[in-house]
Amino acid sequence: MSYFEKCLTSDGLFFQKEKRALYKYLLEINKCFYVNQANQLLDKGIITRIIANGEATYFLKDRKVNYSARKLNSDEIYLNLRDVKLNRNRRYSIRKLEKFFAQCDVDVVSNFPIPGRFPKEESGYGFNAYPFYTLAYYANGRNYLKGIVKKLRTKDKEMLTKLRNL
Amino acid sequence: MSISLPLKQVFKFKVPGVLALAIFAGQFLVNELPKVKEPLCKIDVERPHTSTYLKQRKNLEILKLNVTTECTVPQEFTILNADIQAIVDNVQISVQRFDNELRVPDEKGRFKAKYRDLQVDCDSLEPTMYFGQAQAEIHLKNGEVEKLSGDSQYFVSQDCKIDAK
Repeated sequence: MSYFEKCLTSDGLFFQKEKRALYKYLLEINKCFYVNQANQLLDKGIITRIIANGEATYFLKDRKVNYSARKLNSDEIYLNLRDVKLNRNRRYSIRKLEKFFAQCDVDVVSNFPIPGRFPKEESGYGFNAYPFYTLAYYANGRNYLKGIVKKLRTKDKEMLTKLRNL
Repeated sequence: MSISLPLKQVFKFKVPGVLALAIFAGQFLVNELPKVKEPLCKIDVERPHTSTYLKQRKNLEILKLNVTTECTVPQEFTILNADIQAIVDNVQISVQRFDNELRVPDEKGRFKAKYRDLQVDCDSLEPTMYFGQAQAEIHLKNGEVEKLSGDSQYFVSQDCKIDAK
């Protein structure tokens, strides 16, 4: 089993740095897939994506996209978990959606991982309120200048190399 | 000898108008002042502890901080900011922060948001004193927002040293 596959199971993601690295990796390997997904969403207004042991449904309404998630084979749906605002520019919207999809994939994987050797303790649906692609994440919603500095200092090389090679 | 009570004077006693108004205004203020609202939620910050589960099953040395917010009414979600503090060289410092952790409770336990994944790698197995604290912003289904904070009350020693980041 590769390290990436392990990250999709309950034996995988433990720390924020692992989730952040997985976000960057997903963005890297799923570029075409996310662009396709974004186009579909902009055309149809609704799409569903299954990853690990969860399913995310994205809704587009009034240039705003939000998503709901549920564990596969479960009736319990967590509604309006995150949202992102788009504008009239399609290319800009697609670029924004790529990041949004990668972030939501990480949320779904960490909440509904594939059952591994050691089960995850179930306790609702959790994620960081600020997505990895915003400066607010690095600045904790406060000083964005500090956020830029913190972002530049954040090194995920080691984890990314592990994801790419192992 | 007959005793005469000054009844007439008693009945004639008048409260001056200004005083009557002041009493009325005072009564009104007392009744209308915002009453101290009873908290709808509470926060439970457990003492930081090394995870025996992860140690036994995955051979990982990890320090965990468990936090639970519980309300008497259903929650929409909780946003938590927490940190683990340690005493290093006789100085109390924050060794790990967990910021803006949002949790949506499940349907079964919609009064409770349980945080069970606030964990950090131990850098060595040196005994160190730890303390946990957290601030929560609880968004209730009825639209109200409760803000509260709590801590693990006292320092405990754990065989785990985390280098401050």
